[in-house]
Amino acid sequence: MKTITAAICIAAKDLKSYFRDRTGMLLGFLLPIILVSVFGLTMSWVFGSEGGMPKSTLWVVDEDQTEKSEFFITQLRSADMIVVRPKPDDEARSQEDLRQEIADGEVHHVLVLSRGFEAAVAAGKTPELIMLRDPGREMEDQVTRISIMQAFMATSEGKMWPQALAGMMDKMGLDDQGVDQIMGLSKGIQATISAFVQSSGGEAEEPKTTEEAKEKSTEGGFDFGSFMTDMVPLTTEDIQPPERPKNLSYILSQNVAGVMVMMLMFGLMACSSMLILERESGALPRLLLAAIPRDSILLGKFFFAVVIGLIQLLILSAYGELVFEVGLFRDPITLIIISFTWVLAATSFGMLIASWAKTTKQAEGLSTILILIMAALGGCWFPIQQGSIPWGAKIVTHSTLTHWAMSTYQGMLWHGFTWSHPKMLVSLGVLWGFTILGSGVAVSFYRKRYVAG
Amino acid sequence: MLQSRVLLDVKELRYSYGERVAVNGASFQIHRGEIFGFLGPNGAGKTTTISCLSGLLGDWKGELLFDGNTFSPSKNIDDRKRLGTVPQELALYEDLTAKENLTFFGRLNALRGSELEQAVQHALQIAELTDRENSRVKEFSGGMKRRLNLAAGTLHKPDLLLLDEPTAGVDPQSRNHIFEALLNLKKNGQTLLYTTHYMEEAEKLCDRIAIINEGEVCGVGTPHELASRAGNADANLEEIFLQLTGRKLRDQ
Repeated sequence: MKTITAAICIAAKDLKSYFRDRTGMLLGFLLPIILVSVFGLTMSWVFGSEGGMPKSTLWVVDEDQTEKSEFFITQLRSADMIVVRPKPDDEARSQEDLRQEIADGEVHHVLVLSRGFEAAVAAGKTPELIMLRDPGREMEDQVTRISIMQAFMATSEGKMWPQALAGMMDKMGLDDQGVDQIMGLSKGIQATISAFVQSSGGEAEEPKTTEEAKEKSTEGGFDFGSFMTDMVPLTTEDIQPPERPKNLSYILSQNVAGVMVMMLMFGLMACSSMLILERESGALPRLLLAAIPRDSILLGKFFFAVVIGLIQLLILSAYGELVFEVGLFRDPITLIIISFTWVLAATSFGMLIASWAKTTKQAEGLSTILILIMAALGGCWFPIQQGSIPWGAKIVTHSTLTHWAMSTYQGMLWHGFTWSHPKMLVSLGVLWGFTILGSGVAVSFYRKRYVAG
Repeated sequence: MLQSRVLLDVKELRYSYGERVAVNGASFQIHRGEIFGFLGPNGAGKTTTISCLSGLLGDWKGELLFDGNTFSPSKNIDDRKRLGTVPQELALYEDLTAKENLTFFGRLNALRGSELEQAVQHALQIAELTDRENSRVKEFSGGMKRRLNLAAGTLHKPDLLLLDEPTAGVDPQSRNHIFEALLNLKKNGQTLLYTTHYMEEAEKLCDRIAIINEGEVCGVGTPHELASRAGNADANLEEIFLQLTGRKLRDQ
């Protein structure tokens, strides 16, 4: 037989074997389709259907309660890049409440429209806008500022840009004479534009600078984004939870948690075919006929996977701490509790597949699909938690193991929660619930498939 | 009280895989201290019968009596302790050494401490692998693995050792060694149930033989008794076997 004929013959044999395990084959073919769908869905939840930047949530406290402040908020709501809270029909939140929420890591940006907002805008003066923010949420900061700038310009009908520009130049360190020159020039341009569009001219007022510190460095070149957003007269106040390490950003904590959660699941994928391999090696009958309770075989596999999982998490945690200094070990008890809980839940998941699958192909196919889906939906890849996702999508994400595992790691890393915090207890409780349920179903499958009588 | 000659009494054993009847009322007795051969064509029900006796299959019908007592190894751990198994597949862990394999299986059969250590050394002697006790099984030849596979089944000194084609795929030297080991076990009072395709093996080793065909036992006795029953006292076991089971291929 010639080489090509022999190769075709071998390929035909392999194809025949491959197609014979229909479940395994289906899982293999479905994998890319499912992944594309899940990717697309999660991306649209997180980044919006237009596929732009992730929508950031901005809480607004309207202390002015006037038509102008309401108009400003309406303008904010129409911005594409942010979601404004509270919703129009929801109850307003107080500044103090929201400050606490920032301190707890629940909210990251709050815009306070102080009393006198309408009066200031009407008088062509710079209104007082206070931005309370979590300094770790840098990614959302720029998006929020751009949206505020757009709303601010629309509210002031474009008449306040000379003051804003002068104020921004002042912040950047321009001397008073220069600021006055910019102001004069800007007013001239403003008057020309006003005359051109036959609109009422804005009365010139003395510019007001924001209270923001002047030490902001202008080194490092010109940043157009900052240049534009700095024109908004925002007084920024950083609120930081005391326990959080300085160099820990939200994205970094999300990445660290995501990698820990996902990699553990990949590491444990091997356990999904353990029973099948034991059977294929011929050793399983000898184990089943030994003088031991037969459930101990499954339990032994469970213990093995738990030990391997704990070692994996320990190595990942140590490496993460060494390289990124994210403060993983600042609460060792909480780290141990959540890691142990997550290993148990993930192992139960592995055993469930191990006891269900009939072939290695089925076990590996199903576990790959489920791990990748859960990683995407649970927020391991994208910061799905920060997006404003529909309630149906919330149900889907909350039904994944990874979501609850991410909640525990994010809770510890970002929010600084200890294991006994009510939110942590809920997440840990869900994971324990799955461990019990998953193990129970796994035992039931195992008894049916492997144990006689 | 005198022990009964019968160690295992199999009465009207039945087992079906869905609609297909694999064992259809098989009855035979295994006597204490004998090597009992179990022969049959492919698909005759040999492996299913062994699986019922060993406890791998549990929902059979009929009656099993071990030493006169009801026997249910699939449900009862103490019943399983009375059995040793040497499966057709090499039930060994390739990444473990010979000693580690034996120690592991010994522990699973309730052996501990010095008793375990002695049992392991004895098993290594049976397998003639004492000098290779710390070698990994994956370094062994097929014959060495077969010998170790056999030794692992004898570790806890079971009352009945079930052997499912223990010489499949081994060279004549290893096969001969396995025969010697089995005869030595018998000499020491071990009862064995031996399943094989090789007539000459059964003829050479077995005191009594059961021939199973299409799920039913069609003959039990010594080779001489079977030959007499077949009406040809000079017939060899293969001729008797073909006469009792027919010449038609069974696994088409």
